[in-house]
Amino acid sequence: MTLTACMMLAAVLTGPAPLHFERQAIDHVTYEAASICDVNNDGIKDIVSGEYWFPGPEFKAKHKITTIMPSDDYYDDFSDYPMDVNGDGFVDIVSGGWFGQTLRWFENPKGQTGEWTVHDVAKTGNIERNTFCDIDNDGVAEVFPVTSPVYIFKLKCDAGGKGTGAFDQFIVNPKGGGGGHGFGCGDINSDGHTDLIFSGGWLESPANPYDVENWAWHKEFDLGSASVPILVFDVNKDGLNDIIVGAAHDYGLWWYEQKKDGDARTWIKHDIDLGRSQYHDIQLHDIDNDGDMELITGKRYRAHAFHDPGSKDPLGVYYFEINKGDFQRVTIDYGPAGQASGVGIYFWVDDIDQNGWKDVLAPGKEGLYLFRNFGPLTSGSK
Amino acid sequence: MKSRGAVNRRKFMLTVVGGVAAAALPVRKARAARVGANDKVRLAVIGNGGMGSRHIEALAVNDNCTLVALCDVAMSRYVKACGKVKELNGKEPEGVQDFRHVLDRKDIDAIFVVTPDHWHPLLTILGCQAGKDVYVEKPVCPTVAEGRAMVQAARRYGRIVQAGTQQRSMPVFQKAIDVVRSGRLGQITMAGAWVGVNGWGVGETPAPVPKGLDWDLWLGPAPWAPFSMDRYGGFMGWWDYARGGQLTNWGVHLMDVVHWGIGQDRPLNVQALGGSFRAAPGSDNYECIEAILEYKNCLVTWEQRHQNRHAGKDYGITFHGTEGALYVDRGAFVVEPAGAGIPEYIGEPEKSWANPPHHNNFFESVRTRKKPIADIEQGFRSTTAVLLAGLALKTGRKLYWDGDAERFINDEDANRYLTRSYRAPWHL
Amino acid sequence: MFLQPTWKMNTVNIGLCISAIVCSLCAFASAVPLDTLIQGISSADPKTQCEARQLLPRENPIEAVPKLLPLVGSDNPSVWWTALAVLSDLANKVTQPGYNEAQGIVTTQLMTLLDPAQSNDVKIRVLRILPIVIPEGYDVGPVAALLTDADPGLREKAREALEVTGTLHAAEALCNALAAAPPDFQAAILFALARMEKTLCLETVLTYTRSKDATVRAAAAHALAWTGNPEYLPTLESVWKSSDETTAFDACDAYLRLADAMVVSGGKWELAMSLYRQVLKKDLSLVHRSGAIAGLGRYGDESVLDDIMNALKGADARELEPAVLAAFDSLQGAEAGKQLLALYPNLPDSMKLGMLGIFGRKQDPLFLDTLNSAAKSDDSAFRKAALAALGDSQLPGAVQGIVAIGHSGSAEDKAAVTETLKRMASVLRARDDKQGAGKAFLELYRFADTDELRQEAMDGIKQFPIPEAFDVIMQTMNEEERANLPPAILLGLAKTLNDAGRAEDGKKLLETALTRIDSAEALQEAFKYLGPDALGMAPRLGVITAWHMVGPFPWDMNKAFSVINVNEPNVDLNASYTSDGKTLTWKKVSTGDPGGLIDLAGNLAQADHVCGYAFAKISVPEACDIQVRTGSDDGIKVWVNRQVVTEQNVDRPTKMDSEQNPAKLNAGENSILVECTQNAGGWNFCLRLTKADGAVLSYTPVE
Repeated sequence: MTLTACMMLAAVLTGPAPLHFERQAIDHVTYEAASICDVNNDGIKDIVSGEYWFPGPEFKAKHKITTIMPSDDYYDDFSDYPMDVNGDGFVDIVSGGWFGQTLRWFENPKGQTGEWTVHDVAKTGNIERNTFCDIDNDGVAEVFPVTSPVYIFKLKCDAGGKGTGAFDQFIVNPKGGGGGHGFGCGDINSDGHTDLIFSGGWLESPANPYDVENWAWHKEFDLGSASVPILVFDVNKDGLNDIIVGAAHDYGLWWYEQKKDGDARTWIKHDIDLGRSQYHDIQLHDIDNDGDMELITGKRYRAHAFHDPGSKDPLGVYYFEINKGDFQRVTIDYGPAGQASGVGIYFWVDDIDQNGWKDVLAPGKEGLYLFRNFGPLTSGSK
Repeated sequence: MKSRGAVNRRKFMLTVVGGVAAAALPVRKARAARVGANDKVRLAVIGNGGMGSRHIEALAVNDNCTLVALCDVAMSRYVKACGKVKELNGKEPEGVQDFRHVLDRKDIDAIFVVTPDHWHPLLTILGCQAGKDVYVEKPVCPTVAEGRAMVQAARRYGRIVQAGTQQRSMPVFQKAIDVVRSGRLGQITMAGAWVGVNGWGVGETPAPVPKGLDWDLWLGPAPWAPFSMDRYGGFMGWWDYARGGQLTNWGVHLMDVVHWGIGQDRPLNVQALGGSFRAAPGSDNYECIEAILEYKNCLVTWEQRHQNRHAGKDYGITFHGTEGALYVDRGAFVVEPAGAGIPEYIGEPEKSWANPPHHNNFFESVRTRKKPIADIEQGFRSTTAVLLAGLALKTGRKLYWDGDAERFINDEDANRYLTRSYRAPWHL
Repeated sequence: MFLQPTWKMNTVNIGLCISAIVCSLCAFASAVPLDTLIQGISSADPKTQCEARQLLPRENPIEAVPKLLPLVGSDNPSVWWTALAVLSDLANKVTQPGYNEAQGIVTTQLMTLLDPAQSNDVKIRVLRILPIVIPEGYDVGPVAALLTDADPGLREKAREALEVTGTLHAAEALCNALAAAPPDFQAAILFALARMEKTLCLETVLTYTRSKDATVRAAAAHALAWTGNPEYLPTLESVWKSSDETTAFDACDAYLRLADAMVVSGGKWELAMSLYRQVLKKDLSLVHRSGAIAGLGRYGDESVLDDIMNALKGADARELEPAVLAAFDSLQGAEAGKQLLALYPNLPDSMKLGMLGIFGRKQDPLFLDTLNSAAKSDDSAFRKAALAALGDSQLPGAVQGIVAIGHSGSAEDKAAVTETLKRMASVLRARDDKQGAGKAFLELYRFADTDELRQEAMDGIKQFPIPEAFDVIMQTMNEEERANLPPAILLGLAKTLNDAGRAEDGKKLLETALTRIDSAEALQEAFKYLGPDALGMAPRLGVITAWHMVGPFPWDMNKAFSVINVNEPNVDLNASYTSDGKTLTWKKVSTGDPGGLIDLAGNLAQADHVCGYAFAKISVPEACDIQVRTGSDDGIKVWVNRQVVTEQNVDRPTKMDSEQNPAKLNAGENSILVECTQNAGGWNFCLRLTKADGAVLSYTPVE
């Protein structure tokens, strides 16, 4: 029997070689949000998820931030956004969840261990997931906790641009609009202002976003129970921004192509992936350093216990190469809970080990996992 | 009989302390054809000793299969077995000493592994690697790591592997478990199994290797030792070949039924006491054992004693629920109190050793590729429970078990017992 | 690469440690002196040997081990076996958490048996024990030295011992021994390193993938595969390319193991799938291509189906079918299921039969139509496969298909159907699926051809009564059979019929049921099936649950019922009484217990040596002879219409129907008076009325 084997992977696969990730189980904590940031200003990035932060580069130790209310197998923590709220040079964490209905931030004790002080900002109503977007282009993100009513929480900064520990609260108050499951921000009409996108339409921003009476509601589509965020991105590079949206509690991932005929705007629905469900969080990052954005996403395990369609399907973490309207799925992880990871309600992408490749931090009820990115597999390396 | 591929033997000098065995033949080139819905499964039985001959006698008269080859390291055994088959069905199988000649054959679909315990894992894995399906006797493995390797091999190569826990196919047990799981006994809070004692020989007398026996092959992956009848004829008493004696010999059967009844397959922790008190210090594997395994919401006991009799049974399994108790062995099951309204059920112990329904379940799986009723994963878990009891005896302490990671918790030294080294050139 | 040993022992340390540890291990000292026990091992008397064997492990290991060591070299197998057994126990003792120092000391003591002056027999014997006691960080030099011993048998024993030891030092020692070892021994060492899974060895192992010896190269590849590191792929490729007939299998097997490890370690899913696909596409052994297919199925998603189906286009498609079926069985996810369903019609019959089983095991309603339709096939093999699949699906919707097979008429089919229904019913019952189980038991009943099976089915219907079963009972049973049904079944069915809106039928059944309850057991069974409705039905069932009550009055057993407290039997509910300085009046009480158990301690007072009274009025349409059935804690006296019918001056716990006594009721109103006595502890009673024949008596309560 002759033996010839040709193992050059790059030649066999169509498209770029898949990235080589290594999965590390950080801890069997089951919060659904996480983030990567330098908590203690030692130059090394750390992991934050729910009640704990894990110092890098090993992530073997864990320090308590605060106690967060559990409810069944959920926690009242649907975001762990790093932001220096009080301007003391140490990053704080902005959080809030469905059950507590409260936007809050955890004050970093200047990198020391010991619990963090909890500051309630406002009682906003059930928070599906805090969304962060720099709507006024001042370099500091604003917070959008809920879809109805539409609040904007803007960090009050001093003259030097440092946070002061307080937020101004605005209600976007047009005649109707907002609401539903799903939220995103982006410039739909390419006028340089950041608009807000909802399941049932979009709110067009006035020149000054804080001119709250003058947001205009455009009921132009129905995205169903949509992902948070809904992404605004020119998929087919035709100069018009399109929408990418997932089904948060059902099967489906789509992009809606914006078409304009004079002043009339229409949206054409295209399928990306109908065979997987619970695409609750979707994000755009250049994960393979090719200069283009990829769509990174995955399954939110037990988003509604086992009631959602497809809730017993395998979990997964994916990225989609986008090529002028064509989406090619690449699987980072796939398998049942206990063997593979999903992405929870708010995952995080950043180069945590600073090797030049962006990594994926995937929280969720299946556990907290870090996928370190080593770039494409180079042949002949060993 | 000609084997495929070159036979590549290299011999080493055998000294008093033993030598390295011959290198492995090139194997696993066989191509097992697909067994069709109406085809007879073509079998080889490896291990034609006491238990092996029972299987052979039952298989010889089973229309679902054909005995193509019988294999044993002792020529006298396979010769005798072949003769018996000819007596029973007129078709004498081929007799073979080295199992590798069996695995090489294209005309064998499946193998029965009925050798001493220390060969079970490797024969199963080599069988899977040769494209065969496997029926492997209990205990399926002497150590936990080997058992997991067997399951991995079955899955990796897509083979059917049935564990020889035939009580799963016996109506008396099926009906008893129906009662247990119906809730009529209430919640099961304790279960137990018990058996009497096999007297193991003590000590050994080295002797010349009998004619026709390939002693080196009999040893296989076990550590080298000179031949003695004590080892060869009484392997169950020796840690090198069987890790528990009666505990693993009968324990797997009985613990398997306990698992089946309580619906769990991994203990939380285990502790045990044991000893051999009759005469002289005794062998590796103890005669008298009391073990307690803790499962979720349930305690399980194992009692191995002389003159061991409960509820009129010399061995058996018992389930104690909040509303009643059930005692079962291969002959019958009995529910107490009598007022519970469930009559005694009488079974068929005669065919309980080499059990045709269990064989047929295996053949059915070979044809349909559906997992058999005692799939290797399940047999491995039942074997693990008694192996853990044996390790609690060996280490002399309570051991906490992580059933998912398959390791002890906070006891790295005890974890060394979960595996054993294979004598070269054999390897997992 | 040289690990620094963290364990450095010298005799001074040992001395200090002994004195420090002796105290903590003092508890192990036994009544028989250590030296006596040691001598006992060599005794000619088996009993003495036995005692020594059992008691020696209780000793302080640091003291006992050195005294045992000389026995290991004995010519008498009974002596050295026993010594080894004791040493094993002592070694295990010091590996307990918290005995770190002792563990090191004992290891050092045992290591002395590896001195060059010792015989090979002794070395081999101590090598049985060392592996489980050598601590992490301990210098394994004495064992490692044996890896280059002149005797190959001893070299092998040392290798085995280091593999089981499993410490970093042991792994390093094995690595260091590679260079000088002959090829066979190199292979053996590499297989040991494969099992030990230490990253510190990988660089060394890698160099042996370029050995001149093919067996060594294959072993080295095997020893890299566990890492799941895709960087090793080119190395494994070259090992494979350069393998010969003897080593081809192991070389290729390393790929499958690497792919498996890649998936399990996570993050390399695409790479692993690609690796399986590569193995599949190449002209390799059937076993490996089967393994690749199995891997694609085990870990893959719907995207693997094309590759698998392509593999089935080759000449050996039939031989790959087992692996393909295994792969399809493992595939998870709704999308994969949909695509498998779409593939089904075009598969060869030989695969279709297996696919039916797979569809059943997916337990997804998606496949039900296909299974139900296969259940109606003319081909008995298909019917059989569909039957097994429907049973495995555990879907209530599968019952229909199972029944269809039964109707096909063959006796073998019917028997198989019965078994399947039984199993399904059992599973659905275990899952508490009331509708599913009820339906399954109903169908089982229809198919049953033995009394035993019918009874089993009826038990199931009883547990999960569904309206459909009512018709079965009415249709398939005649008057007499129905009359013999346990009343509890009838009550359960009556309740179900009511719930389903069939009030008329429910009422009829209820009436029938009531006539059939003729014992305390039957009544209590009925309560189970009536559930929360049972209490409300008390008057229908003859149970008194509402009373006027007064007390407590002083009482003692000697006086029995002789003391008159409430002018019994002519009570006046408006009267008040004085007792113990307190004024007592009649008050209304009732019980939540459907059996009528009414608590006087709670309603009146928790006291000893007292009695209380309860009074009720009931109405019946016609005069009749009845039984008064009572239970009490402690004693009870009952008057019906002011006639004494029951008198029990006892101390006992309450049990329904402890006694039954005849009485007469008038048409219209009747009175019942109860005196209940209390010695100590519980104080309660229950009372129910039946007709003269024991069937329950319905009454109307009177305020």
